[in-house]
Amino acid sequence: MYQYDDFDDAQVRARAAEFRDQVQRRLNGELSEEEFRPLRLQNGLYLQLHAYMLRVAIPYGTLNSKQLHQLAYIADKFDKGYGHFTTRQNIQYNWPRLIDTPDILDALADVEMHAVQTSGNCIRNVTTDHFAGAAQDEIIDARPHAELIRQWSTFHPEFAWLPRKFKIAISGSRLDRAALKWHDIALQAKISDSGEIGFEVFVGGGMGRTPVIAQSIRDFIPEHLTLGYLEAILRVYNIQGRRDNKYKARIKILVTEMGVDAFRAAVETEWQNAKGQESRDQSIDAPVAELARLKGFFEPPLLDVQPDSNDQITARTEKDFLFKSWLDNNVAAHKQDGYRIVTISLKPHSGINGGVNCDVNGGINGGIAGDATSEQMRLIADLAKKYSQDELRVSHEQNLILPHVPLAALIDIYDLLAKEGLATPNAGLLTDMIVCPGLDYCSLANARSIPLSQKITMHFDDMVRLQNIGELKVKISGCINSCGHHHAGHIGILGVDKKGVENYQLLLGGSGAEDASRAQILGPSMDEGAVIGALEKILSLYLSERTDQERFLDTVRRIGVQPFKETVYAD
Amino acid sequence: MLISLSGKEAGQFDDYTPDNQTQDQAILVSLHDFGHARRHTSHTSAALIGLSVDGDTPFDEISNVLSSVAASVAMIQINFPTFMDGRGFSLAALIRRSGFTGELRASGPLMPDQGWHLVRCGFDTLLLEKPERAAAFEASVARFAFAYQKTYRDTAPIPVRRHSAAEHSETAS
Repeated sequence: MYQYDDFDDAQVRARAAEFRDQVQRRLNGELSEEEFRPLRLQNGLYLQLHAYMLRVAIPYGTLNSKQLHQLAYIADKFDKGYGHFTTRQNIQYNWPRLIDTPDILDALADVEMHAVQTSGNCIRNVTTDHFAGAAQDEIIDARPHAELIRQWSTFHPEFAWLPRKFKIAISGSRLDRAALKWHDIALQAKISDSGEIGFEVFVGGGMGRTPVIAQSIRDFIPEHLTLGYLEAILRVYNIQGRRDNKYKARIKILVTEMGVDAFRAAVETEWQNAKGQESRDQSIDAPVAELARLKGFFEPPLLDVQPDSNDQITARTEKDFLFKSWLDNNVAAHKQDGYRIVTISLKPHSGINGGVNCDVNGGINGGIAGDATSEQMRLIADLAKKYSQDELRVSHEQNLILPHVPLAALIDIYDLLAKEGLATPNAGLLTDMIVCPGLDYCSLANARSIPLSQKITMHFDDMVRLQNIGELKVKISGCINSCGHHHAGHIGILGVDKKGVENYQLLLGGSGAEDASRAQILGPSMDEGAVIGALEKILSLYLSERTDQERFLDTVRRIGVQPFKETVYAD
Repeated sequence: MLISLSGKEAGQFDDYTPDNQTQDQAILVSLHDFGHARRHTSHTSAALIGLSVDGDTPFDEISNVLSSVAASVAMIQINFPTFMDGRGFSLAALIRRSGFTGELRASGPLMPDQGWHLVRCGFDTLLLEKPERAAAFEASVARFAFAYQKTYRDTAPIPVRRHSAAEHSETAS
């Protein structure tokens, strides 16, 4: 993975010093809260319901063990002993004190990490496929490009005061595991007919209050010209994006209002003008040698030859149902024989591993989706170092990934994970939910999402049943800001406020994959108690209607939402 | 109060007053009044002109003026309506890209922490609303030794520095 040079180190250190100065000026009254707010946001520091929340960047979701150990240390020293992994591959701490945040940024800089631009009206963390570098369907590993874009966007002086936040995703695989089409800009890697590496460029996707799926504005941009083209998009957006209404300020609104053809033309014009006026020394693109240098950090690891079958595993699967489930659901094929990609589910069931679960909330069963204690982080870091080339990933589905695991290590890993409540075999199944923090933490929420997710998990704590249902992506948002991605859920659940009572609206048929689609509202909202009953009816219909190997999403698309609406609301 | 961010000194311009047709110092005139000023001052072609524009002005309107008056626009002042409205930064970048080498001045309720944003987008000077913040602006300008992006100030961006032989000894300290 990428390693900082002195330039990178100096950047994060200077930034940490800048922030320390800003906090000082806030604490001594020189800066009002109104003035301090945009500054702290550009370092990922939110003020939430109960406390500050710090969002630490994990660039394109890639971490090594030293970094994860440091995140565990920060959780223990400055927080309540846990962290929360997010839908943009970052980590959040819910309880830092303002006065400690400069020390936290220094501690992050010590391991080549930061909280730069994880909030604010600027370019946010560039996210990618959490299986990058390991996936069988990989075209290229897009992370060198993600790193190039990260550096270009970091402290970009022109784009720090955009109309609104800006999210870029990039993928180098055929299957879309990065929810590309839900981003402001998405780059999908492809190889041209002449063998050149480049990207198709999509613009204007987003969730929030107005879900929109990104549209293609350029079929192919060569990899060495990508930065200049991105800059043209950002400049058009910065100049023409709406600033009159916070809820109409994303680029998706600009693209919709201009029309995609006019938008594309504006970007082309700006891009051509920039190229026409660049001097030899000030190209709008990075030197070719720089991309080559970055690719050097992402060479495929040298994995020694390993057999692709294992008798102990076979024997164990015959007598250990949960282990077999874990193999089936949480262990994915790797591009190299003898290796696997392991998904560590941070969506525990209560009692599923002999009563051990990550009870971060002091006794509430079912855990909190996406949370990990410092102890769990340390275990995972050690597993990554010992078994996975000292590398792990954060997925936007709020799980952790060990990307390069030899088959022969799976049993040891499973047993070690199980001791810490990390071996829940539910990856991709109903209880592997994306859940926003909701009203328990967030000042924007209308409803709590965590308790509902826990109730759903406890109700469906039955691996036989879950596997029979099969792939089912449930996504819960506590308000229409959609941080839980409910628009992209096979089943989406949206928390609303109905005359002061928390209510939930169900949606069906969304997708964040290459077949991106918006979920459709099922019907009127219901209170929390009614949600499980509604889910039961929905699943019952699915199981009776599905043909062949249809996933839930496929059945919904085939028969439509209406039959589901009828069964849920028939009374 | 005017301060310099880039080292270039701020020029002195008097606000253009339409009644006074014999202004012979440098005049500061809004884009809106420019046509009038051009027609009615006897010195427009000789005097130094400072052009005052709002941050949301389309660049094309400014470039029309620049190309029509050739060398006499000595200063362009971009007025930021709020510190959150970042259009002025793109406008500055476009003005510099078009070849303007005169003084680029920022005005408006900007935050000191935007000092380095201003300088890298090509601004030279700043019309301060709160003079007590001058030192904080200057501190911001000096905050980062190097930049990842190309900037107007001729500083090679970090990706270029990494691959230029002469720079290998000059890593940031």
